[in-house]
Amino acid sequence: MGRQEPLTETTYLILAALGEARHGYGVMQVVKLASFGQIHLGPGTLYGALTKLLEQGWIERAGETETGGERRKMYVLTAKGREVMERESQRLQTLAHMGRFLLAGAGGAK
Amino acid sequence: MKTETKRVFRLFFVWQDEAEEKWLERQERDGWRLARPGPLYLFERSTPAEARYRLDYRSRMPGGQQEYLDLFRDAGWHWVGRFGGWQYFRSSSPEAPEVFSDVTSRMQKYKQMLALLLAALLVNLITFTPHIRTLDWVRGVQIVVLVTLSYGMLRILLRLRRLRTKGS
Repeated sequence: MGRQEPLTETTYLILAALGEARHGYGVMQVVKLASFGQIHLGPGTLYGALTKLLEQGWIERAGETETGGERRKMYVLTAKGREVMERESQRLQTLAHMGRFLLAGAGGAK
Repeated sequence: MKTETKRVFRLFFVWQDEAEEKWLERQERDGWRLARPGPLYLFERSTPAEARYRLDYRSRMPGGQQEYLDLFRDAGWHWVGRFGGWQYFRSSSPEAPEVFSDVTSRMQKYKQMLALLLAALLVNLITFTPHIRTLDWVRGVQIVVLVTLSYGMLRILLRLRRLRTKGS
């Protein structure tokens, strides 16, 4: 399998948040929570990303939910999206390990 | 009691979106709240307030407009209206996140505008060929349009470069 382009931080977090079905605002909230309030996804950014991910087939529509009389469209990760997400997590983890290993002066060769 | 209103005619070039946002924010500070955008802006009398105005550009919404507007409303952005592909939003909540939270998506907005200008430029160039005979004044108008479009594209390209290198 070919190398995949690194995902943007935004894309990575949206995919991760859609491990279970959520509506757009739910994605914003859960990402904000998980980042301890550091990452506030903007609605323009999120809308653009959701549109693109739907077209790529990495996420799909998952019906609607009703909260307080308001209907909201839901999205969820597809099998393909999960695979992309797994591969990216692996890549980031390997990179981080490699970085720490080198920084610690391991490896020997000067 | 009828709300006092005013109409202002003002044209903005596509690359002046940030200047337009600031202009709308000044109006709100002076007690005029935007009620309808367009070249003929409609403002309504309101208490002078601090609010943020933001312009988004969308040439297409595959999931329909409602899905798009819901996302903005949930995030604390009130939709004022649209003019062409330009969507006008207002927020008086400091809690509402910026419309674009990363550089990639901000650049995407300008890339869409660039594509639109490029299409307009091509249409203009095709009709400009010497094979097509036309009146002198039409030619003159075409030249003005060509220069304006080229200048607009240059401005947007510079904005994209600034975003890529400086991130703002």
